[in-house]
Amino acid sequence: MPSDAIEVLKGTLDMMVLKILEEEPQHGYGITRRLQALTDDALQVDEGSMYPALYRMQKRGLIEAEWFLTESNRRAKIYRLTEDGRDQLKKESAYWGRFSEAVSRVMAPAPEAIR
Amino acid sequence: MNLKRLFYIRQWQPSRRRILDEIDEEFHFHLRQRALDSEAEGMDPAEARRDAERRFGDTRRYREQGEKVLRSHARKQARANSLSTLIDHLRFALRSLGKSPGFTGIALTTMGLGIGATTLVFSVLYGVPLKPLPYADADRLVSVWVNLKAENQLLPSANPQDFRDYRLETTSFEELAAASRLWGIVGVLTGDGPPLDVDLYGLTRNFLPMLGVNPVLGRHFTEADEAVNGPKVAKLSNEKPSSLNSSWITW
Repeated sequence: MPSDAIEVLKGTLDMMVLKILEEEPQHGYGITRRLQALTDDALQVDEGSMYPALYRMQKRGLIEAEWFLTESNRRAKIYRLTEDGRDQLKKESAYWGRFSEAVSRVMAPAPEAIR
Repeated sequence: MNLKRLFYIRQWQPSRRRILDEIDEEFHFHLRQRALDSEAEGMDPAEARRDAERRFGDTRRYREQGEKVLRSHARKQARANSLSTLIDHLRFALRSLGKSPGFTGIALTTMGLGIGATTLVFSVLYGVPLKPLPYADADRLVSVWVNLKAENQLLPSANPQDFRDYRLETTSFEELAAASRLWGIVGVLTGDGPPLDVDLYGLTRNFLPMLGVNPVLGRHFTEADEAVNGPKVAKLSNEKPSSLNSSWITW
């Protein structure tokens, strides 16, 4: 893990997992790989912490899980988005859009500084 | 309210062992896949395994957290399932009944008759033989039978001499009293009105006091009344009281 890794904001991991599962159903390891690929491995998060988060979302009915056999004939628990999960993702990404835009506006270099 | 306990339908719930097994299997899958991927990128197998474990973090902690969540999830689901199963059963039962009105009719009639018969038994039968006798300490009244072993006979009676011995020597009973219809003796009651035929019963002196029955007029029998050649005394039941004006007669 790079030393300049970013700590994940509380709650954003769940949102990103939902986003990744929207693309296609995945097992936990697959979600981890996808998250690392999309962020260029920039997030500082234990891979194991993915699982309690997945179970919580399962309990909230946002995702559901089922065991499948993989090509290598090993059992893997595959997660997929539920309708509730889809709705939740829509709400959260809308909120995240507004939130990050507001933060970016504050943090962007002020016009005076450029001048 | 605990519905699981109330209804017989108890949903299957994964055991703690099973939940932990699934978590372990999932974690192992993750660690193995990560190690395999690193190996594919040229990492030494042992190093790949250590790297996978380091990236995964505190396995025990995530296992514990995960177990807690999954267990409460399973409980919640079992609760929801048992209720919806019950509702499904009821709905199915009602629909089946509606589809076969003949069967429904027979079932309803059977139940109706059953309930009716039960009600009848309890309202009539209870009033007659099941209700306690209207005597003092009715629950402690018993009828004593005599086992005549020699003749292989069991009788609810004893001859007067034996009875006297029983009453004298009993330690098992508070009181031992006897009564018997006096067969073959015709009772004629005379008084102010026309003579009446009456049934006669012989009673020991303690019979009515034992039952808690007291004479409205007159007195209880005494030991002297009971003697072999004692006075001829009688009590009169109040079954035909209108034509009588005395509760004591002699004959």
